[in-house]
Amino acid sequence: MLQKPYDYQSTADDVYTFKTDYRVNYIAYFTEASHYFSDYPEIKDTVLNFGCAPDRSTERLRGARDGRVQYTVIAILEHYLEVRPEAIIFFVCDTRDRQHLARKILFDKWFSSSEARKKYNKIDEDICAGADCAHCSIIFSKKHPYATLALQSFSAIALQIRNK
Amino acid sequence: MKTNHTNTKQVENTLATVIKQMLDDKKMIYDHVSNGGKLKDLKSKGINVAKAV
Repeated sequence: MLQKPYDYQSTADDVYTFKTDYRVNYIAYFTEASHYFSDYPEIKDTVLNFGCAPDRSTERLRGARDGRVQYTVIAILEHYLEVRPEAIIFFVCDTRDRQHLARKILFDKWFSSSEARKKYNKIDEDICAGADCAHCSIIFSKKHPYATLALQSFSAIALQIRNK
Repeated sequence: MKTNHTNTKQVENTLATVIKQMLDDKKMIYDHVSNGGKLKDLKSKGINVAKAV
């Protein structure tokens, strides 16, 4: 069942915040990622990292699964890409607690069940270095002028490391 | 051949470093913001917040 996203705000610090019915505060943010893609001058200035996390002081309140969080996160991503259609959003699943695979599966489910999949490409790669794997995705408009280059760059990075 | 091999190794090492850097940055950001810290405070550590729209 389609649920309504929570209301979210952008703050003076250029982050997005929202509060759930369970009184959990979330923060979502975009950071510049050009330094990661310095070998790809055509796109490097449009690549942004995306992240979202609950405030630790309220995280204990999460309890029951709250489906509205996913719609809010997707709504923030969609809003950003509507205003900045040239942006290429890079998303890497946090490995801090070894739950990165679970995060990847969850985010894949969120995206594939949203309307966003019709307007935006989401390309996934498992980028492994040694025993560690990072589950990464890039999301960008299907009308992006550098869509092919973005895809090739992303795949090249993954392939080069995989062949190590 | 040796030169090519060396270059390839250098690229691989660079890329592996980049991925590690991404994950380290992600952890740093999470630890900072989830404890109420401001993202802009991480500028000195190379984290630049993109303007909200």
